Amino acid sequence: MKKRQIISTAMAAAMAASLGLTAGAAADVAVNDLAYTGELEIMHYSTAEEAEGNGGSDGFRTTLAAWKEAHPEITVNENVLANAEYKTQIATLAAADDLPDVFLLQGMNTIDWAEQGLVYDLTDTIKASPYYDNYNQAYFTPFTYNDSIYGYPVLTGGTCTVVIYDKAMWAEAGYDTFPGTWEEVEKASEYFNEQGIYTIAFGNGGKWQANSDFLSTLGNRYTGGDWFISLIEKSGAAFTDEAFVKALTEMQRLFTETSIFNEDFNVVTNEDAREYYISGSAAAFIGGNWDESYIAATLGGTDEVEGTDPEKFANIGFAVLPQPADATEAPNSQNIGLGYAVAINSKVAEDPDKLAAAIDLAQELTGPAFSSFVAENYALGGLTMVDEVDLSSFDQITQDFYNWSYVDTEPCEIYDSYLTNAVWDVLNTDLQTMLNGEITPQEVAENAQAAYEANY
Amino acid sequence: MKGMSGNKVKKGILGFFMNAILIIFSLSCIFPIIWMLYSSLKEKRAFNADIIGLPKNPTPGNYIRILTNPDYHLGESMWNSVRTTTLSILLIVLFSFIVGYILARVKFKMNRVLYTMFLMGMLIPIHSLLVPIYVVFQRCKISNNWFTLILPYVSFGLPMGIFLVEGFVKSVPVSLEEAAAIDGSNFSRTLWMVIFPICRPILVTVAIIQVFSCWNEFSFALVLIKDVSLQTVPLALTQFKGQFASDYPKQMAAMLITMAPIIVLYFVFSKQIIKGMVSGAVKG
Repeated sequence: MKKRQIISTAMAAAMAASLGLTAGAAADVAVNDLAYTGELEIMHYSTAEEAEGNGGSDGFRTTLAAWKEAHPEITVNENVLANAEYKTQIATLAAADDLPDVFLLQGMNTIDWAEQGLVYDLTDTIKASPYYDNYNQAYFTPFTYNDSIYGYPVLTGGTCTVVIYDKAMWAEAGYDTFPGTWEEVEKASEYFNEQGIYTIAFGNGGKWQANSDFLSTLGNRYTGGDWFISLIEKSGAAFTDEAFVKALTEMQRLFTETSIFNEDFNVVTNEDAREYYISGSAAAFIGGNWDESYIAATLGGTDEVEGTDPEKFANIGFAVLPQPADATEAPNSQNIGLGYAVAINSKVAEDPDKLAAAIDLAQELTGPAFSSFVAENYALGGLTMVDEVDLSSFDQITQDFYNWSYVDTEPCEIYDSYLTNAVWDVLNTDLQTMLNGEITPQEVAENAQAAYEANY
Repeated sequence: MKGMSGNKVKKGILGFFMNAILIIFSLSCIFPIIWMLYSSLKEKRAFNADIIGLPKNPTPGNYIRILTNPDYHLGESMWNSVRTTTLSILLIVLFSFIVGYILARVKFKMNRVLYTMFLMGMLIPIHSLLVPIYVVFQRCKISNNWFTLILPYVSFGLPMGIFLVEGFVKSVPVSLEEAAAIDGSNFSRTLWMVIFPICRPILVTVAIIQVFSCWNEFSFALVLIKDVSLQTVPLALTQFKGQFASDYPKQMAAMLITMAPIIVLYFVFSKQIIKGMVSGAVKG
């Protein structure tokens, strides 16, 4: 295929300008000659609203706009919905065998939809991709089934579990860096309690946070990575395994028997809990990369918006979840990954020209154009690794977070990117109840195992 | 004398408490709107920091952003909602009236079976029908069109409409129709010139209930409409909700903008709406 590089044009820039972004919004997409002319449907959830401040969504929209600009002979029909509505509609379309040509496949749907023949097997295509050598291979795991790959992991890989702490507050408590063990955190909590400050703010009001932002990493510290892979592959692991129950037990102990967390952690959401940190009512906060973006933008904001606090901003530190005393695995791990992939409806293969166009679009949406855009404008990473990321234009906090996310820590899997919602609905509800002290870790594990066996 | 003044005091205290309860109740109804109104004048950050408090620096920024960003297409979605709701209501009222009248007045063999079948429509949860209805619409190639949503809205609005009209017509004396017949009025003329005006209160009730139902309907709009330019208001409002965070002040500003037509409608027809509601409640 003949290739030439173009710099994408006014469209992307104008779009970003209309969003009020300061980033130099343009994406360089490779323009391959495509034989297909006609319509190509794409369904995604990067709404204009989502793209405001969300680097992955902004990069997706910008790259898509550049691709459309580069291929005027193809009419791209976009169906854009907010994430929750996207999930409902795509599930209905899958049930009716009427998926759009190109769409975002959630990791937990891979097996079901692959078995039903709804998604095109992209294994050979991905291996033949000009960007293959730069792909972060670990990101393909949620979209792989029976050694076949069904999607190009898309958007940005951000952590789901980061401890954001105020260096100055912890220094006052006698800690130069955030403690590496829960024992030390418990000791520190005595000091913070005396000051009337929460040691760590956490919000599980939405039920998913205890799983995504805590257990997924804590569990890995007890079970190691192979256990969860075995669970995905149904090759012997069970939720009732001793190591996982130990993780649940430790989690319950931390939330019910210590005074580390805000007492309303099971009621407030992550959005409320991070306000405790911003206002100085908490010395640390546990959340995901989206919370980090919000906290950094609020404290480090340049316009006169309530909450701007340059000193507190400069004191932001990042740490991995502390290690429990009886855990033996990966103390430096944090769960990071890509929950969605660009997938192609298997019916598109009936028209080879259309299929080539869909593959080209998928490759560009996850290729170097996208990765460079999010690296340069947001200090984030995607599927395609960018050789040299110049972080010098970013403030120190952004640079620190980039290094913490992609360089200094060890990745582990995000539980709810896999398996099925039926399992996570049960587990998340039970976790909330367990953290209220109303159900035992063993019961939580048994219920999750029953849901796993019944639905997966 | 002493007893009378004691009674007065008792009445006064009772009146005070009664009024206090009603005032609290009224405030609890109106407060969400007031809260939305002043919260929409806050920036996202200010709202998150203090959810209930009044804005320290009120700004129309959210309204400006919503009305100037073409990606939000609120105007288009409002037009879609107005068109879909208006046409659906006209059809629901028309069919409810005709079918309800016939079921109430005309005796035929399957009358009660038919009536029961219509009523069963109220018992079926909409979510269980989403996929089958989507498949039917897809196969018939009638999904994702401007008229698509009118069909399920009318279908699911009819059971309630028929139920109310049938009950109302039964309470109307048959002698009215007999008198009309004696005066030489044919069936159609009696139906439209005699019965229809009598049924107006219940038809207004049906229309009110269904306006809210159609205007707020979400599930069918989500599943049957793919084209962004055909989205109705409830669907368009979801775009202000992100995967991990929501811009509530902007969402509230958008809600207030989209509520405007309904509020105007209410004030214009308030007397008739209240009359209709009362009449429907008593006689329906």
